[in-house]
Amino acid sequence: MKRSTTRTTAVVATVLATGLLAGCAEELPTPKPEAPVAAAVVTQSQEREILDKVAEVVGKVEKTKDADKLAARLDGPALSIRETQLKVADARGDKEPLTDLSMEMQQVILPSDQEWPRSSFAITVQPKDLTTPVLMAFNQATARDQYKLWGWVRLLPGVTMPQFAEADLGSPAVPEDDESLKVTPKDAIKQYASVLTVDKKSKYADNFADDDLRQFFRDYGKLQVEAINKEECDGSFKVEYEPTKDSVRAVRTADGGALVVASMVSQETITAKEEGCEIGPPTKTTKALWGDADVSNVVEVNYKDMVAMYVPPKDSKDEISLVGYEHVPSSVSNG
Amino acid sequence: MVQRILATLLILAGLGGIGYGVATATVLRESDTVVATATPSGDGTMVVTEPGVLGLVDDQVTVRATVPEGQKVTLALGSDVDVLGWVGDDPYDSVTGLSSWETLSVAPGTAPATEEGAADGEETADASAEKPASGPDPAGSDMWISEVSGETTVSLRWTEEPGRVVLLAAGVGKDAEAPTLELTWPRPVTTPYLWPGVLGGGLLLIIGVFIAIGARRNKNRGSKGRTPSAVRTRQPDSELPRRDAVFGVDGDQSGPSGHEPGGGLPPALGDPVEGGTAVFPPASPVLPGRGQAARNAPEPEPDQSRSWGAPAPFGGAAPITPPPAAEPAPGPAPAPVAAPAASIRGIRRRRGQGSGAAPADPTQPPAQPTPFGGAAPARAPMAPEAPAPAQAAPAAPAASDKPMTRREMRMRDQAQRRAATGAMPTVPASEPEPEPAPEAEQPQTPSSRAAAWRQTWGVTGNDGGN
Repeated sequence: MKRSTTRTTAVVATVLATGLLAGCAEELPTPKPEAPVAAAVVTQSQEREILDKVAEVVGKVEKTKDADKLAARLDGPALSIRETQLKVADARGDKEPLTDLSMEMQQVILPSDQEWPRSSFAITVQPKDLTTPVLMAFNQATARDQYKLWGWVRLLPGVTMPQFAEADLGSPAVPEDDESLKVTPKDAIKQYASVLTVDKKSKYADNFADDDLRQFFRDYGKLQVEAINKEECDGSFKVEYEPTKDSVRAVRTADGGALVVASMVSQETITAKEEGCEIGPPTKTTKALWGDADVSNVVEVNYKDMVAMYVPPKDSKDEISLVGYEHVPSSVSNG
Repeated sequence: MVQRILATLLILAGLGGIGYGVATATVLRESDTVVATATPSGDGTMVVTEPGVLGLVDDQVTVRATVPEGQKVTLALGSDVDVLGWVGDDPYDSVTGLSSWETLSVAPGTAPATEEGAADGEETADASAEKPASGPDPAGSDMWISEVSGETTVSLRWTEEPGRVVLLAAGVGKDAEAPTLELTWPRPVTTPYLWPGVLGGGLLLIIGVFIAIGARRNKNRGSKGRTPSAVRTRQPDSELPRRDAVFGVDGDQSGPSGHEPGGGLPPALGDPVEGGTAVFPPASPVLPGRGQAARNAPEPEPDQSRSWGAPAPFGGAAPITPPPAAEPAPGPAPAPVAAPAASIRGIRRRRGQGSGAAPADPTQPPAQPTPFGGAAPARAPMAPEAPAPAQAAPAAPAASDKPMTRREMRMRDQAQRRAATGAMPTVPASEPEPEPAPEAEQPQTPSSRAAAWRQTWGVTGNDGGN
């Protein structure tokens, strides 16, 4: 009897003790963060929202012609070029000068670097006007800035884009003085400016594959010169390119090379002999920009340019090749 | 006494167990949510959670941020890199985890890589750190996964996703202060003690109740049947009246119930002096000639032991137990006859009836008025002898009316066949009465049941005796 009583008491005590202890002793959880993984710092859905926001601003300004609003989502060369395009379009009275910046993308190249500035790139689908797709570069200067459209180029017809890492993984940015490339991005753009200016006479000509832009200037210059020579005015045509101060943006390609986007300015000069020869603006756009200025024997057209090129890795035998450009006349003068 | 204490303890423990089990599911049940608050330390206008804090308790978290009335506050969710990048060199508070279930631990955020710079121009750094002229507003950044802005209080729900998502809460605008954060997580609450508590407690309760009942019975019996131990006598004194009353009622009410006390409560017989006797007489009238005669005839003591299932312990005459009940069966027949029959039958069963010396029968019956208890053992030895078996024959008929009719019949037949005619007279006498048997049976059942119960729970009559 006593034994069973004791036992009962013990059992009851144990049950109660267990219960009470269990009630109090639940451990506080501690944060168990996931380990950082290599991934794009911008997700595709975020990129989509960014694109929508930029496109909204671009679209709104296109309608309202209130270029001041562009600064909210455009930056650097893109802002400058778009303002020019808007000005030209306004002068011409049509929208042809405006590059189609609708942002339906066939490919996005997202940044993997956690530091700022961050750059992302995107390639649009073929625009409705059957012009070539546009490669856009976006930039987030600091963490408290928004992503802004920094620049764009129209891809060359039939160009093959280099391969990039999976969008989800992100592609690292390439600094402008990166040595792992055949030529650093900054040098590449300098060299290309030289090549565009003097073409095959440039000492860098061997680094670059021939391309549509160089061919365009050859054809265009020849056309202008021939036209002037018909009047026996001894025409000449000259193009000068030079990089802007605004730095380049470069992103690593899958093969270790880089896609480099850079802005330049250029000036083409068409001259005829002074006596008895007067030449005017050559194109519809330049005519619109010309206004009612007096004609002379000189036409100077200033352009704002963007070029995008593929720079292969250092040990590659490939040449640097242009993948796209934008060439927007910004002003015309009679010299 | 001890039984009572045990019973009380068990009942209390049972009730306690049930109560505790229920309480864990009700009063003591933990909250369905964990609500933890972070109070900013005062520096800066921003509070940032560390990676993993949002998913600390559950994947679903509701964040509420409060700033002084009328001020603007913004909540934003983003990757830790983005958020810390956005915060930059500004001072902020970092929520590092739970310091209790109600409180979040807060530490001054460590501005990345600014310490060297701070060493250079500590004063300027501090000056700028302490009070930003105006709290910057993170609202609208492309980097946020989710955000909300509002005045005074805003809240935001978030379901944890893969990645290192952290929360940025910022007081915005002039004289902004860092908001007070409140994180609320749902928590699955289990009640692991509910059913164990209720079931275990219930079991203890039941056991306790049974013991209590057993104790009460024992006491009744013990108090009436015996005088020896001081403990026992003392108790009964106070309790006896009540018990007697109970039994009196039982006895008065009906035949069957009257039997139970009769079988189970010989005390009345043992203790004629007490009120019990008064009660009993009425019971006996219900069943006039039968049990009463048999019971009364023997001495009280042995009877008692038998009725409590004690026969088994005594002299190994277990089989005899039924007989007492059987005795009444032969109602019509003279009581003496019936009694012997019962006892003999038991013997016969044990021994088999190898020797069919029926002739002795006639003589035996009369001699057996004291078949009970003590008598049984005495008889056992006799069984082997011729006379005993003989008795079996007469006994058979008497017993046959009870459960084991067929076998009894067979035996009786055999006995008849073998036995000399002399045995016959007795047999017919017992045979005639059919009815009484069933009735007699009933009284027995309760007592035997009680005995079984007592054995099961270890509450044998010994307890009382010891």
